Amino acid sequence: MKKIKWSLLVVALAGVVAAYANKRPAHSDPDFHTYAFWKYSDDGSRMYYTYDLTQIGYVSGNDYVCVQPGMACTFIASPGLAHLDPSGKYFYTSDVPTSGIITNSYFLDLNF
Amino acid sequence: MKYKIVVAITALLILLLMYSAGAKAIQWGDYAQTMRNQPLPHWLTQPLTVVIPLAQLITVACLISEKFRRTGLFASIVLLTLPTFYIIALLLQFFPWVPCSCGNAFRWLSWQQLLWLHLSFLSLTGLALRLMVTKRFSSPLNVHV
Repeated sequence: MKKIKWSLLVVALAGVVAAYANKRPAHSDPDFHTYAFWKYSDDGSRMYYTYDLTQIGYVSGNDYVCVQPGMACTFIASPGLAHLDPSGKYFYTSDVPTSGIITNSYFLDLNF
Repeated sequence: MKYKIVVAITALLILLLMYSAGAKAIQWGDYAQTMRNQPLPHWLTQPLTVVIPLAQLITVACLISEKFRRTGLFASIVLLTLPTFYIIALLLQFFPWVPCSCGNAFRWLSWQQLLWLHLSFLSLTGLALRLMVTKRFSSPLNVHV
């Protein structure tokens, strides 16, 4: 045990504490997503763009988060759902609702 | 002096790896989902989800121990090199889509910034290894490496 540097153990502990302190804030509703269908991509996936969430009363950092490097916004609840396309403007995923925007559980058809 | 530099770099690596592994463990659901959404085959992402944090923890254990520090530094090189190549491939658009970088421990960084972070730590780790293999390097605990 003499060969262990105890200050490094403290550093390791500090890393865990930092990870906990930087924990993603709790989201308001894990099942609520807002996406707008845009078009089908070349591989047949549905591509979506994000709705302007602030206009419908959501608070950045609390209800949703804008991810880098693009400015696509998604809910904190499911950040992994956002796939940026190479342009960085849109994202696509097979996991989101098949059409439209869900607002307060009301399904709007935005397929155009 | 060389020993102190190596210990300082080791401390930085431990902080990075423990922060990364800790963030994965604390928010396992988000992390697992982020891994599932990487543009890699599922047969690869599923084991990687467990292997990456496990490898990070084992590497930290090696880095803390004087005896296995050099092994830990070599493992750190591997742990930093693989994601560096992955990020370069993402940025060069080798994959059909670019996943968001929001699920990882450094979710506020873009892929470009993450690349610089990895390259910086790779350079530091390389320096530490270089210092360790010089003949006059020895630790205060008389562990000759």
